[in-house]
Amino acid sequence: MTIERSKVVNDLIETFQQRGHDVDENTLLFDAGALDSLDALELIEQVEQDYGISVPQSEIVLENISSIGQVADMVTRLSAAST
Amino acid sequence: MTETVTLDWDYGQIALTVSWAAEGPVWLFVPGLGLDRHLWDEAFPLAAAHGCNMATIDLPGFGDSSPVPDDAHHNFETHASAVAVAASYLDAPIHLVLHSIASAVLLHKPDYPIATITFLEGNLLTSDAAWSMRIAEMTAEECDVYVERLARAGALSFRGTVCDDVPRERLDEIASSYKRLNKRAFFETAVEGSLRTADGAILEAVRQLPQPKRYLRGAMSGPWDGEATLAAMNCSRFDIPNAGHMMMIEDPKSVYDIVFDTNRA
Repeated sequence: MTIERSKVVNDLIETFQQRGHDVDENTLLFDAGALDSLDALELIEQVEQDYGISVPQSEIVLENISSIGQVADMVTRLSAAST
Repeated sequence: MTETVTLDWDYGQIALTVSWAAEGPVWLFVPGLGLDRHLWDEAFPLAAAHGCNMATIDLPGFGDSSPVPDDAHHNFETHASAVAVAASYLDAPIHLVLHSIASAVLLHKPDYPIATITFLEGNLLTSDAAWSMRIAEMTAEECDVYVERLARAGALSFRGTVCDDVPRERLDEIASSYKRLNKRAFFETAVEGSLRTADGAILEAVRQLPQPKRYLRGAMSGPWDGEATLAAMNCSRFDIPNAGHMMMIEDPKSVYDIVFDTNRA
């Protein structure tokens, strides 16, 4: 099943808003204080669980998790690759 | 000549890498929480350039050193005794170089000959123990999960604490120590080290030692209120520009040029 990018973006925005962070898909999460390096791992574990994907070690880089848009891109790409 | 040796010790085995350049003292490097002796890899060519002998140790439960048995604790008494075993093997005056929480090995007065002590952002004040205190407030089970996340994060685990100039591959290499460590060693040393920092025991132990002391601090680490503390024990301070807590990989030349020149005080 293909995962819609827009759904991932909306889900993650809601998650961050529930934690008190006013973010959009382009917000730089580290710079905005919405994420630290260990939160980032929690975020990865969450998307793995929510979308049934496995994030390989090589994907755990700043370029894939600096913003919600980047996380959504990674999730949809890995999802598409696994179908 | 550089060699890695395994030393037998009351509680297991200790890994030590030694580089000999000449007769004389040895700079013995002890890594901070969760890290292993590869933290100091950049030091070897610089030690040779300075004509200095150096050794790097894995504390028990980290790197290639075995954890203590289940009926013993990873406290700084056992860890200090491991450092003493290394010093005995080296059989020379020791210039001790301690990163971060490794300062806690001084809780137990060394009985080997120490020439100087250099702290790289050593734990002296409560504010130095922010990270380890956060771990100490976890349960052992929570800490296990935390370590697994650190291991998985790799280079990312240093995000925000290391300048962007350090290659990701080098950070991944250093962070690989999180994959290999003994979780009990990590948790127990974090707990004792942070509590003994907070109650002033490490600072008091350091004060009691007569040897010349130096303290290196990364200028990017932010404000620090230890000036009076250092002055009161006649400890020289050096600031490393463009570096933070992991200064030895962010600006190795600046750090080691000071470390290997003990005339700089």
